[in-house]
Amino acid sequence: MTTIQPSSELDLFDDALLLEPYAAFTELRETAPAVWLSRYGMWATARHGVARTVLNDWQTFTSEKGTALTDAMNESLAGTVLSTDPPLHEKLRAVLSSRLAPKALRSLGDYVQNHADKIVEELVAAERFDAVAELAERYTVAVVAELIGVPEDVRGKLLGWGEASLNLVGIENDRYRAAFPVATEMFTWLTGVVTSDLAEGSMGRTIYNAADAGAIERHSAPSLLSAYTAAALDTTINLITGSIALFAEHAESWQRLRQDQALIPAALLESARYESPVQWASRVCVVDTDIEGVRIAEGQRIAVLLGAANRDSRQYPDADHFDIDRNPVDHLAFGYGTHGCAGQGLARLEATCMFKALAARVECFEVEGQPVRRLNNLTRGWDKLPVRIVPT
Amino acid sequence: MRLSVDQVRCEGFGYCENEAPDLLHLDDEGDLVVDVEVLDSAQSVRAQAAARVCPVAALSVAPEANEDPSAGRA
Repeated sequence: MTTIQPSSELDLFDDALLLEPYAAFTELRETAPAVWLSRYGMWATARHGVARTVLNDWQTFTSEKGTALTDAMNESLAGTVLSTDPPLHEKLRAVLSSRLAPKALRSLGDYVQNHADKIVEELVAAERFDAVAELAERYTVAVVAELIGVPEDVRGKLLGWGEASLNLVGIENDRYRAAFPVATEMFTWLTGVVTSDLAEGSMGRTIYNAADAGAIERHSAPSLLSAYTAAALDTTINLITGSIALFAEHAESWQRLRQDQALIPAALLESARYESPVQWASRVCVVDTDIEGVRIAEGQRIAVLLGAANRDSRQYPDADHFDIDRNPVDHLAFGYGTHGCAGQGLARLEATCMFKALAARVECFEVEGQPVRRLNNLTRGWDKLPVRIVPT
Repeated sequence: MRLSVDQVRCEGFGYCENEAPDLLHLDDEGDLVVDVEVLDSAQSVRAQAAARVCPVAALSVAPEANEDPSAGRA
C-alpha cells in the first residue's frame, strides 16, 4: 500500500501543540502546499494562498459532507448553516445577514459602547482583574445574550454550551468526550424553545419568525440559533483577551492607540491575524483535484489551518512580527468565501468599542502572575489572564 | 475589465467601499451599487483590491469579452 505523500505524523490536537503551535505550523507550511496528516487521515494546509483557494472553491471543497472531524458530529450537523453549500446555505444565512450588516450594526453602536464603558470604568477602579472572566466574558455574554434574546435563566449556561459546541467539531479526544453531556443539556433546551421564549426584536426571534413564516424549515431554527450563539462567544472573547495580552507585551503600540483611536480597527485585524481565535476549518474534496502539484482525491478531507495561514510570510512579510500598521485586510481569521464569518461586523464592533473604552482610561496593561491558556479543539485563547492596569 | 457583484453573496460588509470608494458604494438600504462597471487600468487595480478584501468573495473583476485578458493589470 502506498503512503500518501507529502505526509506528517504531527498531532495538531496534542495539548503541547495547542499551547504553542507555531513551530508545527512552520514545519507544515514549508513541507508542501498541502500535507497529509496520517494520524487523522486528512490533508492540512498552512499556506495563505492555498487556504483562500480552498475556502473560495466550494464546488470542489464542499461543506455538505460536514466540516466537523467525526462522523457522529457531521451526521448531527447535516443540513445546518455550517454544513451546507449554496443554495440551501444562502437561505439559512439570509435569515440573519441583514441584522449583521453594517447598517444594522450602526444602530447598535451606542448600546455596545455604553456597555464597554461601564465595564471598563468598574475594572479601572479595581485595577487588578482577570481579563477573561471579568472583562471579555462578562462583556461578550451580556451583549450577545441581549442581541440573541435568550431568556435570563439560560444566560449563565451560554459560555459552557458554546465551548462544548466548539470542542465537538474536533477529533474524538478527552475534550470532545467531556463536551458531550454539556451539549446534550444545550440540545435539550433548544428542542423546547418556542418563538415567544426569545425576546421581541432579538436576532433569536428573527430566526424563529423566519421559520414560522416558512422562509426556513421549522427544524432548522434551533440549530441556527445555537450555531450563531456558539459562534459569537468564545471567538469574540478570544479576540479581546488575545489583544489585551498583545498590547501588554507591545506597550509602544498601545501608546499609539491611546493617542489615535482611529488606529484601533487595523490593530484588531492584526491581532486576529496574529493569534487567530478560530484555528481551522475543514472541507471535503468532491472531485480528484490538484493543489499546486499535490493530488487531492475525491472524498478526502482537508483542514484549512487559519492560524497557520495567517502567519505565512509569503503573504505577510515578517509574519511572526506583531505590527499594528500592517492592516492585513485579507487575513483569514474570519474565514473566507461563502462561509466567511457572518458575524464579523458584530465582532469588530464589540472589540472596537471595548478597546476605545480601554484606550481612554488605561495607560498600560501588565500581565501579572500566571496566565493560563484555554485549550479547545477549535479555538485559541486565554482561560485566565490576570491583568493589572495603570489608569490614565 | 468589468467589475461585477454577486448580489446573492453580497451581505453589505462594505470593506470594498473602503478600497474603491469611487467605484462602488453601499446605498441607504445597505445594498451594494457598482458605480463604475467598465474599468480603466488604474480603476482595475483598485477594483482588484476591493475584490480581494470582500470576506465572502462577492466581487469579481474580469476581462470584457473582446478584451485582452492582461489589460488592466498593473
